[in-house]
Amino acid sequence: MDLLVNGIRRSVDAPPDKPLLWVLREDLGLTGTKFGCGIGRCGACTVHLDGLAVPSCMIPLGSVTGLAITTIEFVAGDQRMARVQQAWLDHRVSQCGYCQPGMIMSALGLLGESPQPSMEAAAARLDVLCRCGSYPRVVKALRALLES
Amino acid sequence: MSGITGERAVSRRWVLRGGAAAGCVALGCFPAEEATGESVEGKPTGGAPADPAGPWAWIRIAADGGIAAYSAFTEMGQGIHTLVATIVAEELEVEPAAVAVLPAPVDPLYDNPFFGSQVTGASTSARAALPALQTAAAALRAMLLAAAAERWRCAPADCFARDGAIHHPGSGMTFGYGELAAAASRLPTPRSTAVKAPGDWRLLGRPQPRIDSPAKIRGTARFGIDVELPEMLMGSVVNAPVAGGRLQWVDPAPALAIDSGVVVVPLEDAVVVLAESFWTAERAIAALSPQWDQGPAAGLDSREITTRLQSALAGPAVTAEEVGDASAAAAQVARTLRLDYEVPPLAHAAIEPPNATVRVAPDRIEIWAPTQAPTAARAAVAEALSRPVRDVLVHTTLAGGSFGRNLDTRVLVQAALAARAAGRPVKLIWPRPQDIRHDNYRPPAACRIEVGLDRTGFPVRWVQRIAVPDLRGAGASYLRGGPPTAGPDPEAVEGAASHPYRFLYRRVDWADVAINLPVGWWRSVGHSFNAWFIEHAVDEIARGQGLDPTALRRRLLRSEPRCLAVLDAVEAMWHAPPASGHFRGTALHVSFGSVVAQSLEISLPAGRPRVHHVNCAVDCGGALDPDAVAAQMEGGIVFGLTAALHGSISLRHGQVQEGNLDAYRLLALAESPTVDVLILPGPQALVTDGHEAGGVGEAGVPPVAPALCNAVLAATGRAVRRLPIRLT
Repeated sequence: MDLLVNGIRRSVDAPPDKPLLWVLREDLGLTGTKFGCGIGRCGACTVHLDGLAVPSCMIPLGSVTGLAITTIEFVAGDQRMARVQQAWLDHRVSQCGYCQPGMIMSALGLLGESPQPSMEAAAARLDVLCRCGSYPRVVKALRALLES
Repeated sequence: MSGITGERAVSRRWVLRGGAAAGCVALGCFPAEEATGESVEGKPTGGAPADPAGPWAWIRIAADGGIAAYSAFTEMGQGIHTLVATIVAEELEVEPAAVAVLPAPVDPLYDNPFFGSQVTGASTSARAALPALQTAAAALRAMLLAAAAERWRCAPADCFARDGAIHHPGSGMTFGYGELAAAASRLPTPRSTAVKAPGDWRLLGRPQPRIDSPAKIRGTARFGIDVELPEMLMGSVVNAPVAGGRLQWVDPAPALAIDSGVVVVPLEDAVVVLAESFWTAERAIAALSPQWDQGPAAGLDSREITTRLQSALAGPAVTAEEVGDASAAAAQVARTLRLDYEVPPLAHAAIEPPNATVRVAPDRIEIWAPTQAPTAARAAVAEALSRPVRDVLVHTTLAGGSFGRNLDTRVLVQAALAARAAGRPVKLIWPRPQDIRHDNYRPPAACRIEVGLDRTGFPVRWVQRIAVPDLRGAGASYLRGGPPTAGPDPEAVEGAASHPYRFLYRRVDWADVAINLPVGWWRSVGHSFNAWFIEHAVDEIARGQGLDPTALRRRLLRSEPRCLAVLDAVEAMWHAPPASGHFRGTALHVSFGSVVAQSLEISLPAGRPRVHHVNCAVDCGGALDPDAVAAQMEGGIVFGLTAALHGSISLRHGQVQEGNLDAYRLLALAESPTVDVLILPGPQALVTDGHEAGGVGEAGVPPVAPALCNAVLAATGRAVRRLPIRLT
């Protein structure tokens, strides 16, 4: 099966009902996307499909052909991603960092919307779970990004 | 560091020759895989220092000047790798980013002095790392200075260290550390080396960028779950549904029907299924119908837990603390209040599920895992495979949170048994429901406080009974820091005994409760419930007598200036009274050597508490990195609010009912308050002796539940009798 991952065509030999999360991690070696709950609740596995943030643990491989798949590893040349990651560094968001790829992909999805959501709407929709409690800093980083 | 006289003539020719010679000697070149922190085998490699157990056991300098330091502590979000780099950089006069941090192998050299084995716990990482690494780095600096001085034929005091080199100001000549490392390693370790005084610090005491952040935000940081080995199989597990249960039999056929390549590994109390993909292993395990002997806990349900806690409150108990004059207090008591509280079991729910990767070879067993307890992990795997501990190598990985979860060694043992059975390396991941349903839980606990009030309504007699299962039976002896103590379980009464409140008479009793539920250490342990019992009771007492809770707290803390300063500081963080419909609550708690007060503001839309803002003041005896301290306070607040608002593990027929994060809810970003943290300047004397400074990894958790319930009490006039808060 052919996939478009981070701008590169990749060929994968896996069953169509295998979740995209495990295709990324096991077949493509893209381990930045994390396994947390397997039911689409924690958001650690968030990736983009054609720019839309989705939990990859709930997406079967067979449903993503022809869609542009973007993961946390996609950094080179993406201005918006660079801005988000810089804001995460400026506000020292990460603690254990395990949820942060999902958190960043989710934030990136919100910032890519037109028009951009209000801070309140963004906070309500940024529902990636962080057990370390980085939320106050995620909010600061998000506010800085929405205001700039 | 010293000035330089500049009078010493140094032969230029000698320096060149010396420099050239040094360049030929490579000491401690780190193999590439070691520098990534993914594989550290045995003791540090490279060179043979004269004193291998000395500073070179902690810090290595390669011939190219690269510096690497071992962290004896697991990086699980608290920032210890950054602090390790900062401490070493401070003494070696380099930048923290120049210091690579590697996980230490299991060796008594790296034992946590608070435990006597390698354990990351009890908020000790910073306090234990500081003296060990400061001393090692300062000794290395002295040895590098001595090696340079020998080359220059000057006194070490005539040289100084800066930016990874030893400088001789008189001549303007320098040697890079890499050029000196071989010679320095052959020198005897100085018997005593002065570490830098806090007043001379340029890095410690100031916020540092975390060295692990860039990899963590790019998705390139390698956690335990990301370890890959050639020929590795992926594993999933189903544990006996009731703790203490046993596997009777399992028919592997349905799993093999899913995929003929899977391997079914029956264990005593679990079934592991291995496959090329975790997803295949998950599907195969779901097809199995293992038959279990449910064991002695099959009758346990939540109501039974409450019944046992309540009867323990009325039954025999042991006294953990008794202070003051009982008869003098009794003579003043005009009225007695009886206040009862109860908390449920709680799961850790770190976002990285428990996992371990194991390779079993004839001569050695290698483990990669986000363990908090490498010594215990090594011992558990060695015992399970009947091998000597020297055959077992533990590679501690980054942990995706932990909070006490990865003190558990079961997943490592299961992975090792499965790898042996399959004859291939295995990465075993516990699916989330297995994590939540087979945790070592924060124990359920109940408390009764009998408060004797004098005629003015002031509490003079405080008799507190805590019913909670004994934690001394949990986990291996490595995790306790010595043989079990006799008498009361110190962790059952921590934060209640030796409490700073002063009464004419105080007694704290502990009643053990036999509950067939695995219990363990959960961020802040006994403090997590004792702070709530005491601090919510104080507001309940105050409001019942028409007293201001903060004024009552001040009176009870009248002989505790450190606590008073923190309490005053947190109250001063409010700049305006609460808005209409908003209510505030405050609580203070001393734990892990730190004093933390939190004051928060809530409203009750639709009858549910919404926490808007939390102010937090902390005195931890001096902050080695104020931003890291603030992050731990913020994280502790979110952790504590999660428990107070949502946290509950319930049992039915011995089985934990909550399985995934839809049922065991964690606080969401949208529910999270804004947080301001104020760090009180600590006396420098405390921070120069790491053992007297306070820990911060857990101290932010205990005060927030009572602060929240005190705000609820202010809003509703009703105290909270059990957590999580359910307003009716």
